Amino acid sequence: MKITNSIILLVLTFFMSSCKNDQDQNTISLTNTQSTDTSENSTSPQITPSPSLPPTLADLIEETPVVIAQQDMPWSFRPKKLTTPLSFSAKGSLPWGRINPTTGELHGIPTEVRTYDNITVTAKKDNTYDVIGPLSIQVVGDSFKEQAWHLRNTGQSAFSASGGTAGEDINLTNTIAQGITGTGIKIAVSDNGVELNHEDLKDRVIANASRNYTLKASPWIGDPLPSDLSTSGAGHGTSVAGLIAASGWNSLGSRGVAPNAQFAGFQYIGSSQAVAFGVDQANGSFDIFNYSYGNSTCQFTPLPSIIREQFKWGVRNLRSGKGAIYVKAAGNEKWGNLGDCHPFGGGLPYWGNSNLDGNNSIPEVIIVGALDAKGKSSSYSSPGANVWISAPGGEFGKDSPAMITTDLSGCDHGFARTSNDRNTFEQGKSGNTDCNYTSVVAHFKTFKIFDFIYALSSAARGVFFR
Amino acid sequence: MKSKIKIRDLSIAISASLILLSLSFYLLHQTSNHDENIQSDEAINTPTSHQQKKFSNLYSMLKAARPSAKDTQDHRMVDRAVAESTLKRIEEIKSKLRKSVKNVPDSEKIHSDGRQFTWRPELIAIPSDDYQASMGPAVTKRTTFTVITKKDKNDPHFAIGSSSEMPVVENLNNLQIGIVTGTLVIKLKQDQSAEELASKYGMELKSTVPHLNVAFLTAKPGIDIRSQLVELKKDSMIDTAEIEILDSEVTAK
Repeated sequence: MKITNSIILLVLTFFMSSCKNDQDQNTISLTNTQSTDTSENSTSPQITPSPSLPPTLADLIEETPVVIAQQDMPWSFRPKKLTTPLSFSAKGSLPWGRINPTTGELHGIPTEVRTYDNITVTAKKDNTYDVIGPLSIQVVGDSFKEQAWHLRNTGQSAFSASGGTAGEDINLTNTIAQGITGTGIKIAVSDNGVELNHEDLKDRVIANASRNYTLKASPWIGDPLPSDLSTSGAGHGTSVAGLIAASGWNSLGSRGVAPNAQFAGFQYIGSSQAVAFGVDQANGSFDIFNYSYGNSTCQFTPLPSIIREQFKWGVRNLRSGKGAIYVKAAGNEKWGNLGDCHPFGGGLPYWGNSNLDGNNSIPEVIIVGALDAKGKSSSYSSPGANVWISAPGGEFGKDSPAMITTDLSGCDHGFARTSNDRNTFEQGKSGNTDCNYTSVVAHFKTFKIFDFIYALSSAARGVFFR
Repeated sequence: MKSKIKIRDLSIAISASLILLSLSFYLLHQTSNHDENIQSDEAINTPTSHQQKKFSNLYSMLKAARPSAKDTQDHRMVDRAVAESTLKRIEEIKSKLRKSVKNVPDSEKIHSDGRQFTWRPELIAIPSDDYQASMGPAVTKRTTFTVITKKDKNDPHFAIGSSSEMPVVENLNNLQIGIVTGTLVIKLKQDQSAEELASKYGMELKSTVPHLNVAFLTAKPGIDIRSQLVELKKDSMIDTAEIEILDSEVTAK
């Protein structure tokens, strides 16, 4: 079940608040439509204030001929110096817009990335009517967000050969529409490292909080960039971080589930994974710890008791006593080769069980399964009685949609190195000319690890606990 | 009278035949079981090409059949056949493991954190960065450690010889290779000082987890880590002490 009770509650709350607003305010009557496209070359409209306008209004309109709005986010604009008693109405093509007739405030939730020109506001004072404007309202978004089916599934293909099922997403729209974007949430992404300077991640990084467990001495604070960038899998942690908290509304890449959250990257997978590191990567001033890793095992492997003790301590003491949230992938062993996890296994298939991984066997950690773009269990996701929730994880990106996210920068690094099973996006087309983003996980086939990311749910939870 | 004898003879003959038949079946069954046992043992170590092919075909069938999901009956048959084969193999593996565990003398066992290991003195782990092909073929390779045979290094070690060479053990539950890093995971009693403990035993304090009263210490080079552990466990400052053994490795998921 990918819709948590928390999401349902939020949706209901928002629904009720929306109804209340509708009763109080009027919808803009939108006639006189003359809009332009989203071209960056579109010119700002010439502002010619009416001489009959009150001076305060005229000054203000001159200062703000173009107003910026963020896609999916609540937006409002009101000339600061407006005074009552005035009444207002608006004209223009702004399908999502409303105006408060007593304050003159324009507001709404823009859904489309484009520029809306020739918006005018009519101010009425006594028997005098004045027209304010024209205004241009520019809605900014993210280049590949429309392919991010996990955020809003419209049946898009995400550059693969087939599409998903509309509505099979994490129902984030109403959460974002309430302005809940993860602000103030700190997330630890413990993985194989993260490229902190990635163009779509750098603004979300918590300074001096990332760790690299290949460094010699504690506290292991340092750049978590994977030391070996020669494999396509080196981009895994960068991709996970992007799904969680890639910056929003910067016209780059896709958008994180919690685009205003902050994160630190840990390079843990590439280390010796000593017990000290296992404890440390579950500790610190973070709200959420995300673990997109696990053992490939067909027999139970217990977790070292000291690490278990840290998790127990973390859920009772971190996050200012409210307890940290630990989220971990169930695994990629829906079924696999017995030989991958046992010296005598040779050639036999086995059905996976996420309980076998000792990291998954403790109640302090939320175990997450993966769903494809049609809302079904992903072909690789490990089953098990310990799976708390399922969230989008996608498939491999060529035949069926994977998830759009950040990749190690450049066409020489990360998933862009994958030579097989590439779609057009991975080939540097469809706007991904610098190969800074990915939509496939074909790399993992090389290692017989059917893989992708469950980090969504962790970040989604982040916005609920802000 | 004649007929009575005939009937009696006939009964005897039938009884004898039945006994012979039963005996034949028994012997046949025994032989068959023996053959099966031998075959099973061989299969554990080196699956025959016939088996490989058989399971490979099932695997392919299952893989190919799943996405289309047109013929449920076929799916069930394939699923069941593969499941039965796998379960049989798992039982064989378990049997082998039980034998393996049973045959290890207690003196060669090592316990760590609820897990049971046996020393593999013929093997040694070195950092993967130091591994060179000229050292010989790797027994197993992990991200940070490579396990090779000791003769490839030509330098016998049983205790912690240096920071770059570590003893190797085998997990008796799953036969996975474990690396003895030389670190001891110590849980101190309340208000005891990790620094003081390290100083007392001349050990290096690598890191601490104050809120858990945990310290990670390494023995001096050349010290047998088992002796060090025995000594530490007697100390009143210490709640628990374990030898750190890394026997599983997580990968990206």
